[in-house]
Amino acid sequence: MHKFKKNPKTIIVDLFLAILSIFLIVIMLYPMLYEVFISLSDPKQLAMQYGLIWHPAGFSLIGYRLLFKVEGLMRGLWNTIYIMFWAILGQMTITGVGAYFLSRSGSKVKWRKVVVIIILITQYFGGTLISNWLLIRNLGLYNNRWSLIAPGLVSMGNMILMNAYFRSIPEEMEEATRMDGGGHLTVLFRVLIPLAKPALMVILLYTVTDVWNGWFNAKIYLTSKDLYPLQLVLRNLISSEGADVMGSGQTLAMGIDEYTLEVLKAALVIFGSLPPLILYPFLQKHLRGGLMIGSLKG
Amino acid sequence: MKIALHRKPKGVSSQYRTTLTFKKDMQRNWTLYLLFLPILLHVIIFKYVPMYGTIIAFKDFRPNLGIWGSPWVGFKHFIKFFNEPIFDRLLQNTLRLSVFGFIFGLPFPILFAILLHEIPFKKLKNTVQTISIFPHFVSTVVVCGIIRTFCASDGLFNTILNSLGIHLGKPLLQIPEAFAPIFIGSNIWAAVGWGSLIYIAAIGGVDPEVYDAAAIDGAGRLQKIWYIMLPSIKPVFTLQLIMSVGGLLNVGSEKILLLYNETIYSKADVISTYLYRKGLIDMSFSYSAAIDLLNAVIAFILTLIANSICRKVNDISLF
Repeated sequence: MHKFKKNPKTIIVDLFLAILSIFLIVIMLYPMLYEVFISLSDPKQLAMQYGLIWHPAGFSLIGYRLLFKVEGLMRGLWNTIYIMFWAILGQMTITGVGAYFLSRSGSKVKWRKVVVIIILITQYFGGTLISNWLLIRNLGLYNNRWSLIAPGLVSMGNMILMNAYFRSIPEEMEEATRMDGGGHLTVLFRVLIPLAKPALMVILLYTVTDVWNGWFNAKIYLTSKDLYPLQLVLRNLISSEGADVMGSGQTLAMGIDEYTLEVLKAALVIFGSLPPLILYPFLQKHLRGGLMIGSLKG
Repeated sequence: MKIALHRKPKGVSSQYRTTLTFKKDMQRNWTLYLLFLPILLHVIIFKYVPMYGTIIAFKDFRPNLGIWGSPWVGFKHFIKFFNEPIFDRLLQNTLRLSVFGFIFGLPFPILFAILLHEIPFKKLKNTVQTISIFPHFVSTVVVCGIIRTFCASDGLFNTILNSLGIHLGKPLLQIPEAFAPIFIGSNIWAAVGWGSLIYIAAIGGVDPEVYDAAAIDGAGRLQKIWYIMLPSIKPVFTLQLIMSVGGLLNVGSEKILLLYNETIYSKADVISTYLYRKGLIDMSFSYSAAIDLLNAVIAFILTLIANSICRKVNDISLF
């Protein structure tokens, strides 16, 4: 395409597209930027601001300082970290093993075909909200943080993604290890997994995002506030009907006015969305390859 | 998926060509089976047991009697749901949100992918793409928190409306008619970048020489888009279409649960939020399971219909 000399009309269209895309970037980013600006604002000067804002009103970190005083927030963070630790550990090993099994050829592993059918059925049929909830109760996981970890440990999507990745690795690499007397475990942990780092990174990103952002299961499986993960705590503070940042008279106790509350809410929004947003740009280069296989999984 | 899972083994070495006996299979693969056993058990416990649990939709489930011990009642709960006074409202709301979400949500990722392909500056292109995916990683709770801020009575949207001469004087989330635009608009905002990835890949799969050849034949930008790019995304688009048709009765209930309130139930209450309230707040287990099951069955039928239509029309199908 670039072999042809561009005429003025093409250049004008190009410029128009560039401007349009910059406009789109602004729309995409603005809601988050707005919250960033508010969270860094000085509550006293915020009172004078309304409508679209393009910079913090004054500057203060009071919102972020108040974060630490919000009841339950740090405990929520700890619960999320606890859940995430086990979810990542489980997801990485289980996906590796499961994908290894799936990536074998049927002629070498007899029961593979049956297992694939058993698993594929779950892609199209599942239980209802209530039957999942009853299961959690019957397993004795109700009001236990493991109710949020256990159901997600086996992820079909991740296994299929990893399976596709394993299959893209030349068979010769495996064969060489087998010649040297290596069994399934050696092939998986010494050969395939080290080579599948990009796929593992994509799965890491998915797991971190899912765990960090999940709140609904916590809402239906947990009753004790001490076990709430961060997003459920946040939900009760900023994003459900009757949400109250400083419930039960805490506001009065801390002497917080309306505008400080605004700043604090914005700081909560930023705090609640950071880890996946920080992680994503670093792992983006892996996403390009891994994602395509994953998004086509059906 | 089928392609990935059922690839024919290439270069099967001669020692494997003989049929695999049970004994030989176990000898060679016992570690493999042992490793996979926990995964299989997990699938059975967390996927198949809930499937079995769904039979409570045809029973009057009482926790002390257990799933099997509870008495059968046939289609009682289904009939009750159809006779519910708010049944029409639930169906209308569900269809309004999903059909409009579908109509407005489907073209944006495609337009965005085309735009991205046409941006002439590589740096700008990469930046736009990176930023467009950002909203996908923001949690629903946070998105709804932002929506609440923007929709507050003195929030951004009301300030803008005020300057246009429209004074509502109350939060937008208490106005039933405003719910669909807020819900669908924010969904598009969150999904456009991520949704476009699959189209970008499809467009990227076209050999650049095809464009060069078209240019030699005198094709302009629009003609290249129309005759090269759009056909290249047709298969992916068809698959997306089939899947969205299957999801017509499944509106994102998590987000609605965060955003709605009783003043806007008339436009915001959908089947999935209703079954959530019935099941887990009112504890009508069987009734809720029946609605859920009905939803799933309809979704499955819709998928099958869409699938067979697409297979007939342009020979592309999910299965």
